[in-house]
Amino acid sequence: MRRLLLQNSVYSLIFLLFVSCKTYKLTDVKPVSNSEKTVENLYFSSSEDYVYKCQMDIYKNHVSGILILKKINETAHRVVLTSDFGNKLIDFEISDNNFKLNYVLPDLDKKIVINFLKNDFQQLLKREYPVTESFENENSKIYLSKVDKKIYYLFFNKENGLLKQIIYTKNNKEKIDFTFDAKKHIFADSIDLQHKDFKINIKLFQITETE
Amino acid sequence: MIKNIALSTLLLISTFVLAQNTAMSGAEAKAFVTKVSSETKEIKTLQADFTQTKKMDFLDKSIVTYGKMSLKTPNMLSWKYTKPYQYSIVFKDNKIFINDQGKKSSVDAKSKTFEKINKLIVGSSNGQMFNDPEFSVTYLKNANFNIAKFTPKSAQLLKYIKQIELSFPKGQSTVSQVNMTEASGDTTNIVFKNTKINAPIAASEFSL
Repeated sequence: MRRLLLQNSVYSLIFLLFVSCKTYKLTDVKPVSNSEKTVENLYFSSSEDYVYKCQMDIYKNHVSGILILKKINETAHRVVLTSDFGNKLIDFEISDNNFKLNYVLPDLDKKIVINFLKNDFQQLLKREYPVTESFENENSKIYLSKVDKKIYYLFFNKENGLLKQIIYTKNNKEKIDFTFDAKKHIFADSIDLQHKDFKINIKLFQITETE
Repeated sequence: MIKNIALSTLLLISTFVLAQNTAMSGAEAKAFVTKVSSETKEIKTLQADFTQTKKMDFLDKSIVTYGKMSLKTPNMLSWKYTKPYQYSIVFKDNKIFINDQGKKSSVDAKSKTFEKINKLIVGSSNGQMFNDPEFSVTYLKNANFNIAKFTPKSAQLLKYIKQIELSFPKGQSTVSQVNMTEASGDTTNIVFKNTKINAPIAASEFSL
């Protein structure tokens, strides 16, 4: 029994290593000449309130609530997550280089949780991407943006010009996939954030435009 | 004439704004609690529609959600958001069942402080919390409402919630409004409408 367990854990370790070592590579794309110097994610660029129903799956835990994103100045956003009953779970201000925690529910006050949210939202709210290389495939224009050890791949729909996906990689490893559904460039109807290195998934559905 | 209209408008507005709450006397408070407690004992089921409004200082607009609650004594409670999204939570047999837009889960009600607090907030709709040892209660009144104001006693609970105000329309023993103030000062207001007492509720209301 013990041997079986040991064997299993060795297998899963190997599997884990294998998965986490997977290098991200664009496939079936052709390079095109650089037409843009920078591309932007404008989905959080308006100073209106952005309100989303939020479902988070963190390993086996399911967290539900309402997520509010609000641009508070040119560089920073306020991010608040409340439960469905309205009580605040976490409240912070975030920009590319700064992070200020205003409130966190005692139960969630764990460094690992806060760091995850900080990193995820820093990537999600990042607006400008300098373009290093450009590609295209049948449906998308793809921009590669290299910032230090991070490479972002931004997929824009060829037909409507809207940002459809951002793949965030670090040291060439795929870290987070962001998928957007939108009808206009400053507002996403739904957002799916999927970690490739951990079992963390965040789904957002807009409830801003309901009243 | 215009001056008079202006003055009475101003007066009218100020009565709305300053619908001053005054403290009940000891005797008044006692009579109120006795009446509410004895009348809520007769409640077997309770159903109502609710509107929940969340206010935060940095937001332009309030976040408004709508739904329906059903309560069956002694220990079944269903709280369902229907607009702008579907989310249901049912408290039954010391367990919490959740249906989050089709995604179902359940947790042990005893397991988490946070869930306990939500249960408390939701459970407040039948006014049975006057004797809750976790809170100290003060009683207030104004022209239209009797108000019970709950303040947590423990520092632990104060980290979550500063106070909960339950408003009972004069002469009624069920809550028509809940006002919660969080530690941060943000408020959540829940208004109940179409309240039905002791009307039959289908068992399916408490299964998700």
